[in-house]
Amino acid sequence: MNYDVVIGLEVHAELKTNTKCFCSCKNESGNEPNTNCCPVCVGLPGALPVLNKFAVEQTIRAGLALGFEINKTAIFERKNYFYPDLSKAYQISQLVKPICINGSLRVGEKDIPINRIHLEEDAGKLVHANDGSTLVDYNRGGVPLIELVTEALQEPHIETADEAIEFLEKLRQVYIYAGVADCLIEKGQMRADVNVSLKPKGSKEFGTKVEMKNIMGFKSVHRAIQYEIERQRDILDDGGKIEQETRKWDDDKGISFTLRTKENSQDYRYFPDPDLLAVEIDDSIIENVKNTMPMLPQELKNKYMQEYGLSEYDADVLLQFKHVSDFYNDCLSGYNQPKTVCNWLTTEIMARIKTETGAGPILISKQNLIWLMKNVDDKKINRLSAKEVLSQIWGTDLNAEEEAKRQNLIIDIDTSALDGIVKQVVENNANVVSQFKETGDSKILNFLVGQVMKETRGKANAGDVMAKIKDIVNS
Amino acid sequence: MINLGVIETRDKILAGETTCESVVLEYIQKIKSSKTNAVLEVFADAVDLAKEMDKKIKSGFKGKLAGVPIIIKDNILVKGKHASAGSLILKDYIAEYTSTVAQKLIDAGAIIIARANMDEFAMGGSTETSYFGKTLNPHDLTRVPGGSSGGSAAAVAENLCAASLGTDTGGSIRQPSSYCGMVGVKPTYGRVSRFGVIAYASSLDQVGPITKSVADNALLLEVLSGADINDETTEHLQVEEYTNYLNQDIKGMKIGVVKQVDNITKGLDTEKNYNDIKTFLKNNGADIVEIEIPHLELVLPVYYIIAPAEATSNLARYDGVKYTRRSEDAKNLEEIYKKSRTEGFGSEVKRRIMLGNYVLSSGYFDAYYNKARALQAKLREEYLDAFKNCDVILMPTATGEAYKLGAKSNPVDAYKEDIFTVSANITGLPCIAVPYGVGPNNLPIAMQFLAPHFEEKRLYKIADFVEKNKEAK
Amino acid sequence: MISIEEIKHLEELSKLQFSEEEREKFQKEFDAIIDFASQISNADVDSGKSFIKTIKMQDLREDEIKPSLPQDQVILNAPSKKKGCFAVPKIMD
Repeated sequence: MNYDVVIGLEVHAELKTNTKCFCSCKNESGNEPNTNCCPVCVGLPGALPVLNKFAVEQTIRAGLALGFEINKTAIFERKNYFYPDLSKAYQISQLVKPICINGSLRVGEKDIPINRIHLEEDAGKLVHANDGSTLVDYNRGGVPLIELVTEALQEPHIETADEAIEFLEKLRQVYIYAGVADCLIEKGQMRADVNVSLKPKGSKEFGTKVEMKNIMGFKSVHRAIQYEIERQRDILDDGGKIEQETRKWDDDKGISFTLRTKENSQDYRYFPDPDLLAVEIDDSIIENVKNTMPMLPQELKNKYMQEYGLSEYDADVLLQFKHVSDFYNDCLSGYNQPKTVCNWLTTEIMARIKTETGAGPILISKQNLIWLMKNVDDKKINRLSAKEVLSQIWGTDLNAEEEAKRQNLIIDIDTSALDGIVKQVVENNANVVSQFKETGDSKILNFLVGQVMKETRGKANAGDVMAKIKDIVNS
Repeated sequence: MINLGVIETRDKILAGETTCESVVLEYIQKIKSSKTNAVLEVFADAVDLAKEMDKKIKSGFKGKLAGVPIIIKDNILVKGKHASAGSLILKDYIAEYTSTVAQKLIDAGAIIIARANMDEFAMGGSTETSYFGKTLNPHDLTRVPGGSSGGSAAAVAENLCAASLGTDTGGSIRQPSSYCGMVGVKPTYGRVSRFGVIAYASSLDQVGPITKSVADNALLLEVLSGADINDETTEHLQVEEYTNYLNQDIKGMKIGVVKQVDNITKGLDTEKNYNDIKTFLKNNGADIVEIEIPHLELVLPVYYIIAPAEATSNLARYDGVKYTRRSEDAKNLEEIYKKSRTEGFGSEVKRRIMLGNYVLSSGYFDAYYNKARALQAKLREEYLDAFKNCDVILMPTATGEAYKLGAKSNPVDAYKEDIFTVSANITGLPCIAVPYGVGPNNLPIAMQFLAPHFEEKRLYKIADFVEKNKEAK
Repeated sequence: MISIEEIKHLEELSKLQFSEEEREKFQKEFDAIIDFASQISNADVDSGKSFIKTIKMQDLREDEIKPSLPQDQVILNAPSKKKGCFAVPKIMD
């Protein structure tokens, strides 16, 4: 039988702020356990949450970047459940009036409707020690988190694992470009819950949803979705029924298993947090966030292609990492040659920063790279020499110009000296020259150019040399 | 010295007639011989702090509470000191930080000498639910001191301190003040910071002073009031000098009396005092205005839905993981939760946790919690409407004088005792309890006045007048 | 009347554990309390209307770091602690 697949996503991202959501502790990972903690985030008796203005602003920014409406009044509720990583035994979250409602994100040709983005606090971290105990660290507890939930009841839906991944990757880009989150997957700064349901093709009625929580990494999300679609298809094909449940994905084994069934689904007993006031968000704030919104990936892509004439492929490569496109934009402000700069970035720079999981920092200054590009274009240095200099100064404090001079790579040989060298090389290679005369083989010509370049120590322009050789040979 | 109030004590110390040290020593002596169990612990550093204060005073310090010994309720945190909220589960808890109210007392020159007994997590009206034993009423040791701030009220009445702090979620400052013959104020919600005060029901809790006189009370509230960056629910309003509103005439002041309260009061021990004070006020030139609060009788169920709902969530953090007592039998996480909490909480607390979960759970949420919140809004509206026709509203504090220990063992009967006090919490209005006469057993009874939000000055004006002129009739 | 099953469910939500006896006693008391609370059911108010206090976003806390507690203070009262952390028996999930 044929089925329509409906995939829903709930995506959590840690916001980029100085302090936590409800206290003034540092929002920073990688510190000694329980050192970024205070009475509020440890849930000590008598401690009270105080909402971080910038966390709300960042949530609004995320929402506006995705075309959301912003609620005029936002309410914070308590989601009650016991778990050691939750210091107060409730999470401050939003249910009835989230900050952002009704947005969308384009995936392929579809605008996937998104129900909401709300602001909540992250839980602490549990570390399973090998002495039979579990250790609780609240450094992450209280870090501001935005949760985005796709709209289940509206078409179009995400229908394949590929679309789900495209959604996540685009979302990640938007968050990064808007400056609201770093979304480092390996640090758990972006996490996705997935739900999958199948229904007979064309049916209006939805199938039973199965949820999978906290899958680490997009590749695993893809595998888990594929697995779940297959699993449900098999059950339905056999005439079985799908149970409403939460499953856990085991990435090592490539299977999922039941975590919670509907019967023991949790009752979170949400109610408005009496320690917090409802937040009034007026138009002036929304206007201000709109006016200060950084350029988002789609806008930049249009600009790169239409204004700069880059190919879609090149634009995508530049935009894949925000620091690369930032660097690109920076370079253009000092050297307005969009294609040349693109060329250097997508080849030389990318090759040096690309890692398995992403991209490392660019370890050359904008000034140095511009000097290299400009002097190649001005025929002051050979491309090969320029690359050589790039390698020399990458990751150091060295200056490109000084380094090129120090290595004597600047093209400054005078015409009569060059003529002399060309003449000498032609004379020394009389056999080869006559071979070239007969065959016109460009390899031979290149060999001769190479000989000249060697004699000049790369200080001549290869094009000039070639023209000179041709002149002599053809005369 | 120890029968004096805040202002007299301070003035005598500042005048050099006595020292902070000697006053504190005298109180500590008195606490040691006390038979009421009002005090759970005398703080070990009290005398040292008093000595330091004497030095400070010598070098010119003139804080509003310079040298005044004060006792705080066992749910108010002072860094490095025990605070247990009258519960086994927090028996060994030592505060990691200081509450805003305690800091304000300290900054004003007060010496916090001890912590006072209370109903467990402030749930109760008799101080009988404390894990650390009952507190007895100093006026009659066979009776309760009221609660939940029973220890705080009894301590002032027994002259164990110059004044004390209590907390009031449904009457927990005012009712024990009435039973012990003291002046107690529940400030406007948001007037005093709750930071560092162990929560019962966050939207209703307020800290307030229990004192021997209205003037002392006004002075203490001046010190305690104000916005706090650590408590979002505090109001950014300038704090008034409440002591400027004492010794005033009440001629022409409009006193609202609630029709529904008159009905409820009929036949109660408090009826005589209530009627007497109306006559007294009228005789002194005030106008008695009849007002109506149509939904008044629902204020109790509203309170007993909202308070447990918040409490169940507030008390979930006491789970045996971070700082509360952990059951010795617990072998896994689930047992840590269940056994620590089952052993650590008393029966009234468990009852309210269960009730809170009942009214919040899916299926009942709308019928109970949401409906109660809507009624709360309605009641607030009705009170605010009433204030269009009067300056303050008068009503009894309790149904009568302090009752016998163990007399209210049925929970619903006990809850009904709060009928006059919970309105102020449900609406956020400020309210003062001021002694007015005695009951059939010659024990104190207090009357209450309510004022519009942040109009505490009206309370001090009328209560001060009552206090100073009641003997004259 | 509230059922024993419902009481057990509430115990679960509350992380409390009653003995059979306690449960029966509780059942009677609780019924009286629920009756008492149910007085509000006939009140003529619109359930959606509650009083909500608001704060202007402009008045919220600024995003400025303040010192945290020292680690030893954070875990001061922990009934079990290891390596600067709160410790519980190993959680199987």
